[in-house]
Amino acid sequence: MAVSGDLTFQRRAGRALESSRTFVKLLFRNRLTGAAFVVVTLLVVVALLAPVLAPYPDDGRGVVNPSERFQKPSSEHIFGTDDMGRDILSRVIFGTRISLSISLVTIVAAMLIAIPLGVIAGYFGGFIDEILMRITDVFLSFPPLLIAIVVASFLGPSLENAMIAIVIAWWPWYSRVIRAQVMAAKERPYVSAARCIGTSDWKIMFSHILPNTIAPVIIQASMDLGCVILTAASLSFIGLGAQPPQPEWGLIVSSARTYILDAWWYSVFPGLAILVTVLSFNLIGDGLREVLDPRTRVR
Amino acid sequence: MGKFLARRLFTGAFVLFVVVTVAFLLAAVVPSDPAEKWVGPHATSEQKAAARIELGLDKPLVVRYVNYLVNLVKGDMGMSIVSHRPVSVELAEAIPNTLELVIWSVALAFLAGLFLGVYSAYKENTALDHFSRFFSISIISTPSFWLALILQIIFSSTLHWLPLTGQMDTVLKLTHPLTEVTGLPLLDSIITGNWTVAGNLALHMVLPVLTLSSFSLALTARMTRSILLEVLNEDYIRAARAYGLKERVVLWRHAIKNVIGTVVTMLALSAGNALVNTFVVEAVFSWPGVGNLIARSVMNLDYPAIIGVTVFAAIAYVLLNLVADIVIALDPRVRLAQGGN
Repeated sequence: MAVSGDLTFQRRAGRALESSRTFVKLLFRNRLTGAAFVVVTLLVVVALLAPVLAPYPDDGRGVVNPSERFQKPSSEHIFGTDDMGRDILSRVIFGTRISLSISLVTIVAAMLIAIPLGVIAGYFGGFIDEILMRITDVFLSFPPLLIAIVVASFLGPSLENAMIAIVIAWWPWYSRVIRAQVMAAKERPYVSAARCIGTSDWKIMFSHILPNTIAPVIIQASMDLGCVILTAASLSFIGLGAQPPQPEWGLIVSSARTYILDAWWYSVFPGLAILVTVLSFNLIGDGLREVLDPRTRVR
Repeated sequence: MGKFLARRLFTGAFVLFVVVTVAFLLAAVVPSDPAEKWVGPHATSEQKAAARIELGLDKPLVVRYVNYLVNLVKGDMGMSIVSHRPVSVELAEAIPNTLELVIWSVALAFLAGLFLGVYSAYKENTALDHFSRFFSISIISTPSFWLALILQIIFSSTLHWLPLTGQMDTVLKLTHPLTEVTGLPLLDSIITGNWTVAGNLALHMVLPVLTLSSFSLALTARMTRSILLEVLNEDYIRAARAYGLKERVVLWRHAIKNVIGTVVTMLALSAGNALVNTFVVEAVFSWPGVGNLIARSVMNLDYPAIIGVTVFAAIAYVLLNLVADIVIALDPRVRLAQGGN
């Protein structure tokens, strides 16, 4: 029994490894996707080591330096300094922490709300399903940014509220995806088998169906990381997100608005940081989609 | 078709109802006293009490809710707490300005995006195709507010070709007053032959329209390319080529027909996206539209105005979704598949 069990396990692990190897190979066949992976890895490193990497760590934390206002980019301040004399490169580096953690935290929170609801709706169907679908209908009729703006404007401006607003705007999408997956999975033989031996509904839902249906949601979520960063930056830009002196990229661009005539570097570099980050996530998302959906694979 | 439309209209009405209700409830539970804002910081407590009665805040929540719904149906959205003017009037002033931006940018996105997409598909896997794809995905990843600033830096503060912000030069409002016909400023100035104003408006519109259209343009190009690539593999295209038709005719007369439906649907949906983006872009260009209205309302916690803009956005969205559904339903293949529903 133990031996045969081990054998199946080994065989299964081998197959998984092989398929993941082809998966990775396909993914990296596109050189842009590979480059995007490298950039994202670098960004994570930058975020983790921000206090070490930033040339002026105190500036990143918001300490002002009035004598150094509006210095042009130079070897001393590669990205120049802002209206408070802070080194923009250091602030951009510290901003990496905020943007990456916003996207990760909100996406995970949205999934934690969406997955149980979607699984329950898809599994039981009927009345619960109907209610959840009508609620998501309302959400899906509007773009996430609009919902996030409206919710954040009711909650009041702060980074935490902006994150709550993004979670509220995002969860219905994942609920829909997981519900559809569960509805298809619950008719499969392994579910009937589990039911025959008397497994409880909850156990079937969360330890049998869920592991088999969660992949599409995770893939969708990883494609959304860039979009979430963009949404959070937009909220901060219109004053509904991070508040000064937080070094959030959208907020830095927003404060740079007043000075675009005199200090172009103030708005250009933090915006460039948003662009590079979101672009990398989107390229990875595109690469994933191409590999997973053979119809769109490059011919 | 009738049944289908009726069902869509019902869903739309339901969505609107939910949005209004949720917005109203949220505004009611938020810890901010509208009466206090209404009378200002130096008011006496009697003035505050009077304001509470004037704004109807002394009545129970249910009564206020029903009143709001009844008034909303009549087109009355209450008074803005900041400007003390009716929200409906402020919206009516702002909507045409936003609408004009959205219309022009969607039109630009459609034409340029379609062209770029077709060209990219036609030159598949050449350097130009790769560049156009990378360009599209970069544009989609660019924050629109930042793009707006970059355009300002290049075209206004460096080259001095275009005005930095605003809708038109203030002087012109006095020297060449605009007669209102449709409410859309640029259209009005063209209809009434007020060319000075038209030219000035157009100059001010270039940068906001470019910024706004970029996202839809990139999306259109990507979508056109991928659909066209599939279409070009179909038998009827091979047949058309076998007949010896010119490549241009095959592309623009035969293949394009199967692309345009989907692209138009997507554009109707992305017009909504452009609408949200105006909220951000208008802030950069000080454009007197809905986006500026919501920015001002949010800053001052002006809840009647916030609810007003929310309701407007909801209506716009429901209508756009309806248009998209109708465009899809007009496709004879869809009608067939639905069995005449």
